[in-house]
Amino acid sequence: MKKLRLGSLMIVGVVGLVLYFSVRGLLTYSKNRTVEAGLPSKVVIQKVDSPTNDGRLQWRATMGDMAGSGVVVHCTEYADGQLSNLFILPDGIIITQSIVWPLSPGLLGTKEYESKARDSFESRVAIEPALLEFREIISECRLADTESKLYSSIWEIYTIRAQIRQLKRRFLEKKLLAHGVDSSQVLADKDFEEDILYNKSRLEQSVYYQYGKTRLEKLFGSFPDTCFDRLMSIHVFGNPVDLNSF
Amino acid sequence: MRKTSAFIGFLVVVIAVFYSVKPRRIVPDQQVSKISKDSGYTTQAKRFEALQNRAGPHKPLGFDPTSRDSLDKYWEDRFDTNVMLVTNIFKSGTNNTRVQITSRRKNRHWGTDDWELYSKIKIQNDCENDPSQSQILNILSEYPAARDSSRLFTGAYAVRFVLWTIHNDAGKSISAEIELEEKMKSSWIVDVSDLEQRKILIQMEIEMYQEQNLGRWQEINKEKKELWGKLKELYGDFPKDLFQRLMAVEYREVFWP
Repeated sequence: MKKLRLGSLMIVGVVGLVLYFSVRGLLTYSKNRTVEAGLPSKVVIQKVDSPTNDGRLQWRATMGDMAGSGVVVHCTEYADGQLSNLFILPDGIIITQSIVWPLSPGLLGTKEYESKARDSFESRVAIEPALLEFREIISECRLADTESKLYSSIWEIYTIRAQIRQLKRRFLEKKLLAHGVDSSQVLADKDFEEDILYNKSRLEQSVYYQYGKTRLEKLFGSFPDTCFDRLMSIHVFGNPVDLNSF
Repeated sequence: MRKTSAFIGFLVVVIAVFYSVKPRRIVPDQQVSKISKDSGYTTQAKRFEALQNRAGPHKPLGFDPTSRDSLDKYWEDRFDTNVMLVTNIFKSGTNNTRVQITSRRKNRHWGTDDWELYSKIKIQNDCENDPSQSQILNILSEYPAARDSSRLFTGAYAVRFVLWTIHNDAGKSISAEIELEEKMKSSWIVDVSDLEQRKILIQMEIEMYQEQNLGRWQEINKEKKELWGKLKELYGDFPKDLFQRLMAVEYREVFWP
């Protein structure tokens, strides 16, 4: 009888231990199931100062999840549409890139631009149906005075998307550090780590987004982020013709 | 006394069986992100837990979340054996019509709890590699029906997959553009002495390239349309503006050709 009691006690002890580990295991399982994600690697844009008398606008951009990784861009927008980007890579390497936006900012909001943009739209839409998608989204965004600026804004967005496409192409061709840079400064992509090139690409992309959006804001007074994001989902396959010389 | 011993013995057997089955469901530490919290993500994860802990009989998982091979096998085995033929008619311009017949097989895991867990693991890993991917979950969660759905990650992973496909299509178009430019410089064009003939050749190449691009544009739109349909199926409906914003999420691979 004593042995039986002892045996029962041992069994109860074993059951207790098994129960303990089971519950602990379940708790660990439950804890592990909680997923946490990091902050989005959004580009953080910081305005450096208000526009100067000569119309210059300066801003600085870095990325949310890589502020410490050392790639930063200082961008200066000039009144004539020229962009000067100063990329600071790790180890203090500085690249100065100069880009001319294909469309003159002086044309923005003019009837001349709208008319040229409309003609270009008509001639291009058969081979670039994304233009129809731009038109549909802009019409849905209910922007101020859309009718008189519809085709100008389509052409602006087409330009931004084409710039992004060209940037991706440069990444494919490993010519990222050469674009818009004078020959004495040209660096070879292959000599840099992929992370640096990736961050540089994202920052250059931010330059095009920011500059393009600034122009749209000039055109409409304001331009909602959600509308801009929707437009950025459309892929284009060509490059817009330069309306300055159209 | 015998009855007590038998009862305790039965308990031991039940617990032992339970204990031996349970480890298959434990997600290993390396799959759990240790990076900082994101606003919507944790809430969504808790909702997902609720799904996992729901009442009702537990069905064993179709894969072992601790094993990469098992996850890969689950992915590879996703297709249904029944093949469905789909005819797509693309119209471009006034006279151009292209008919495409494709075969399609359904994802037999689609809409199951297993697929939700699989999608969650995949999204979780993607977010670790590229935290900007959590934007997909954030945008999806702006729509209450998706946010409160037990299929949130199923939708997110479907979005991720389509974005990857579109990225590939866009990449092919860029490669084709580079190829076209190289062709223009090649002896096949340059060595043609007859100017008229050279012009015709160039025009022919450009038209062919444009035709390919139109095909890609149609393909991309078809993929988007199908995905939108899937999101509507999952969440009852899905607003167009949110869908378009989802399609604007770019991921790390955009710059990793």
